[in-house]
Amino acid sequence: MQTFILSLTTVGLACVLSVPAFASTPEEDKATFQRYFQERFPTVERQDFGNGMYAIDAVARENWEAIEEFPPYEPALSSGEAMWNTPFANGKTYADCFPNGPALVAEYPRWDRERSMVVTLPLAINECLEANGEKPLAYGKGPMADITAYMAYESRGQVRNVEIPADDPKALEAYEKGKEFYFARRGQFNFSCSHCHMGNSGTTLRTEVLSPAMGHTTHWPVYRSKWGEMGTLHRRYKGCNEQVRAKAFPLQGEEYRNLEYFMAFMDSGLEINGPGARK
Amino acid sequence: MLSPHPVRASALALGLGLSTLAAIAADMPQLDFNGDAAAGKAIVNDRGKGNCVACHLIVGAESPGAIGPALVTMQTRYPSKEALARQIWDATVKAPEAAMPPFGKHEILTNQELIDVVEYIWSL
Amino acid sequence: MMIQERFRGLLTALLLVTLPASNAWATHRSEAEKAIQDAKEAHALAESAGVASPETAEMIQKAEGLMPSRQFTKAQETAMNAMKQDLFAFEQSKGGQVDQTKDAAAQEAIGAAEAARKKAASVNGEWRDTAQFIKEAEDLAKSGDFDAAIALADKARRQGEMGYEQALRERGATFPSYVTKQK
Repeated sequence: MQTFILSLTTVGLACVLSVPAFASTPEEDKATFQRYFQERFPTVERQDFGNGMYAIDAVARENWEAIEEFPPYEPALSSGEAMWNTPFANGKTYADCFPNGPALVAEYPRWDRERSMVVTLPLAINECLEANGEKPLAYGKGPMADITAYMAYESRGQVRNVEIPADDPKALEAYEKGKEFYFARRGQFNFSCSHCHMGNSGTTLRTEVLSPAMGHTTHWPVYRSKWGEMGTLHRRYKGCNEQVRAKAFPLQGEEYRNLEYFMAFMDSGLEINGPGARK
Repeated sequence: MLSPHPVRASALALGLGLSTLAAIAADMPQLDFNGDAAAGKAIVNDRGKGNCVACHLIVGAESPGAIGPALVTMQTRYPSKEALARQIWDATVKAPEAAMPPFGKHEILTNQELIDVVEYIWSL
Repeated sequence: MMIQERFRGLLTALLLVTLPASNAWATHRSEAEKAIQDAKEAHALAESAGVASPETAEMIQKAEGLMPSRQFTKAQETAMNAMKQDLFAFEQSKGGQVDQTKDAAAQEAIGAAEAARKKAASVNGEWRDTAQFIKEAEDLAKSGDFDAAIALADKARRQGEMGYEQALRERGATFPSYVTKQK
């Protein structure tokens, strides 16, 4: 009798512990995610989600369209293009590291099998620089934002299609970690990303309209009026974390790269439309 | 097809979580609800403190948000100041997925600030 | 007409001179400069007793560094903190009475806070301000303000504990219940 109970408990425990195996797949998550937003904002065209709150607030959109006539990210485009075309001290160029470039933003983030990690474009750029004896760039703003702005602009129209290789369980693990990060409450204010950008998307925080999560990764880097300059996605991650009074994580560290992996996968099917201009 | 397992997992997690919670004793202590409404109003409007207006409409307040319910007819919605205080202390007790930060439990406000805020909100 | 205009001009000129010079305008340059001067004197005093720390010297330098950018309030604050610490160290060296029990209690509270912060960090649950509170508690203890140091260190410790508990509780976080799953 006792052995029977013991084996029942073990089976029960095994069932509970093996819950992750019965959890949803990334494809199911993506379908859930995108359907949620298309139902929440039925008048927004799918590709328009890449424009954030300007897809859902008509007045703001008018102002934004006016700004886009003379986009504030133009200087970044010029600087970025100059960077792309300027050889390093050793004579090589970015094109040597990125033969498909500069129009390859949709290829990132991607899973690196050999190193079992998510590689983002800024990370790849710095690895290129270091491999060629150049100093790496800071990840939040400045030249990194300029060159990725140029590359994003050249990549406009490319479709997000992040791959999670089925034959590498570590890739799925990184995706799951990013997903968990997204939905976990953090900081003294106890907010998760989803609190503002899913259930409360479209509502107003004071006078700011909360943008829907769908389309959050397609328009970077951005010229953000609040910053008065260009900034990258990971710079915004840091700001958001600190706004909820959580300690931010290192830019391009494992946590933010996994988070970007998850979010980019959720944006699958959306077109790259960076760089962007935001409040 | 929804799997029943996630429910079991969250039940287990909830049990574990609740027991950890008890260990930290983050319940609202006994408080004397005799606060200063004017001080409470200042805290409610202060971006660095309550910043309640960020999410809640308060009549007459500057640029209120519209995430939480409007703060009106409070006395018809809460039976006592203490009940209102508990909600502000930690809204997730009643609604686990609530967006509202736990102003008391996470010590965003001090106990005295909470008392003053309750005094003001109660009057709305 | 001409008299009115001249009067207006005079008034404007007067206001342009007196307003910036008055206390109506935040911290004045002279106040910050005085604080730095006081801090330097306190530092010299502490040095004479052999108890000046490189930290307070750094703080005074930092305060001076803030002056060109007109951050007078911050400069004054930093200089005053340095002064308090140097004066306290000086008093201690002259055989000033220090509440050893409270000092020890403050050190213990700070140690516990740092341990709690590290524990929260180990599960990616550290909050934004915890490290800053601990640093401020250390400064308070160094100025002999033990009660305030203990209160702040305890607050930091609780933040660490809550951050840890929060991170553990949020493990396995997934779509909220209001999102219906798609198959």
